[in-house]
Amino acid sequence: MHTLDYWFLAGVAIFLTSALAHLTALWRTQGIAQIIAWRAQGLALVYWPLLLTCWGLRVGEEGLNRLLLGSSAWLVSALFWLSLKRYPLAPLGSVVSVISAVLGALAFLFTRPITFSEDVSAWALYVHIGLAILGLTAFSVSAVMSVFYLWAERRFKAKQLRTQSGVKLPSLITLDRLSLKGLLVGFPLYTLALLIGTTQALKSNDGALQLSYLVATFSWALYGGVLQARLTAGWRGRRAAWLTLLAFSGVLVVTLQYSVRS
Amino acid sequence: MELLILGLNHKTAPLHIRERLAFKEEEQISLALEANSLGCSESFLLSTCNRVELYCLTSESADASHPPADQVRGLLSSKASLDVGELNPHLYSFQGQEALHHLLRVASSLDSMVVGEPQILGQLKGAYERCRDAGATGRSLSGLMDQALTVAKRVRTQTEIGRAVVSISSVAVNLAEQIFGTLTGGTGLLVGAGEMGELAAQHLTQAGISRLLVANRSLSRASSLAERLGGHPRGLTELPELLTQADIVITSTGAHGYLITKELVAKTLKARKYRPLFLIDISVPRNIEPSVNDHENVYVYDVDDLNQIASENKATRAREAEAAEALVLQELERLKSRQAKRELGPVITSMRAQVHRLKEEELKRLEPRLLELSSDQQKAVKQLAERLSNKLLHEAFTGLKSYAEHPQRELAIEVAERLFGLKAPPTEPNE
Repeated sequence: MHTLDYWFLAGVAIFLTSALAHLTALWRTQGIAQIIAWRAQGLALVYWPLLLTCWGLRVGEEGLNRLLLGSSAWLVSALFWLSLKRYPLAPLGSVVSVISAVLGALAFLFTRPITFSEDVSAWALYVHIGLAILGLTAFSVSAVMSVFYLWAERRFKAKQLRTQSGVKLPSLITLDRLSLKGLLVGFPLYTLALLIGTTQALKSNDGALQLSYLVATFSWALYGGVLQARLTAGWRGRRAAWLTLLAFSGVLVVTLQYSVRS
Repeated sequence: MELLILGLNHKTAPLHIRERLAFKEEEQISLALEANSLGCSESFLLSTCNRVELYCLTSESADASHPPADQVRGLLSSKASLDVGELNPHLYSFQGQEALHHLLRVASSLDSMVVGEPQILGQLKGAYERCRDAGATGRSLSGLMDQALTVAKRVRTQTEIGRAVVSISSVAVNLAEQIFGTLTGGTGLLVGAGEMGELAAQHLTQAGISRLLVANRSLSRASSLAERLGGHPRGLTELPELLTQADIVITSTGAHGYLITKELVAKTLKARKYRPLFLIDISVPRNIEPSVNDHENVYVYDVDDLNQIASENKATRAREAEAAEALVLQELERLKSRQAKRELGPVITSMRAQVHRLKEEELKRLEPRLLELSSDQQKAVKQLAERLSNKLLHEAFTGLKSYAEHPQRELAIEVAERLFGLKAPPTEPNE
């Protein structure tokens, strides 16, 4: 293993530590777990940019795969950190840390340089991957908010909640609004990524219909439909959350397939 | 100085007695000043709807024939225009550590009618500050109050005693906040003129709701209620239209049968653009069809649901109260220990002064002989004397402090005083 591989592994460990501590803190609101959770997340926010800079300088464009996935892991945490100033999202720290850890782990695992046929423009491919990963990040936020919305709404409907409990989630409206924000950011990015990907696929005669293309297009259409319904007809709540999760699972399948292939 | 608390509360005195002892702010100040003139060194009076308590510091050397407690008892009975014999059965008094414990419990809202309610801390602080500004209190009570406020804050942050709301109206507002986050900008609709509904609407208004609509069969009744609550009156026939505007609906009518049905709500959903709708049914018999809850983004809570949450919260508070009591006792022990160590202060100061004096005397006595030595040697001798006295004192202080909370603390102090020549030895009886 390359020396920097160990440093990537350490980065993933920091995210995992934060996730575990966040999960522990859900049951024990006071105490050491909460301190460890926030310290680890703070450390990750400083550590990952340094690591990615070293990696970029050392390996160059061959290491783009890792650079993009690592940046995405950092970006999810950084966005969450920033949103804390505005929304009471602290209990979601556990999920965000897990997402960051998964993206970090993917960055650690997929080290092979990106290969492409001569017909495909290198910059277009980089932009395509970059946009797709950023879109995925925004969609992840949206999906997480949808999961929490469904959980909180179910408890509310079933009257199982207490007016006070160990885990204090943001209000239903806040969760729904954040899910929409994730869609609003993710959809344009993902659309551009899809457009660039399609043109490059057609150029390289790789335009044969593949299942992944169909799934990606279906997810995109579903996201578009949900967004349209949300913005024009005022859709919100349970139905919108389920459809968001369905579209996200499609995007996730496509991403995993490409990651494994690379 | 010893803390004395004399008072009554909702547990010891019925309302007609508490009414007699309800003092206005200026009366509280004058009563505290009067208590000071009767032998207390510092005093303040707490007067709320559930308790009246006089907190004062009494000197241990107070006139034994006229104990301050009796004097203050007399003062309170004269202010209440009651005989001492009539008032006495309702009064309680605490002194010393018991009084400190009571103060901590009051400040932490453990002695309140609704355990954990937050108002008492503000009332206690306000009462103290009023009397302090009038010169009725001094440094000692200030120290005690600081400790009480710190303990109360610890109880509030380290336990969940104040977090679970226990009244139906507060539970309703709390639930609404869990749906909408902030209620600012929201619209409330009160259907009917029931007392509970009015109370819940008041809570919503206090929580920051921007617009309140009041609907009733009788428009004149709706108008008078709307005027009281700062809302807008509407007729009950407008209900379908009102449902498209409202975010939170409270029904509190005496009507038999459902006023808000599943079908009625279904018709409003599209016009509402699927905004969440929170319906609170406080009426018995119910006014909202329970199956309305099946609609997406619509939440129905009836009086039983609210009661269940309130009673669960009460149980939570009771559990947390136990934890809070333990915390108060722990803090009390800490304060006692700190106080006991502080009380050793004068003896320790005297011991240090005595040893210092002896050291200086010896050095002065040796001064002619020290002059024969070099300056380095002189310095070494002085350092030796300094270190020796410090080491001796350190051992003595450690030993004395270990007796700070010991039952034989007084004996230890006396022994130390005699050993260090601070007190003359007892005279031997002549044989």
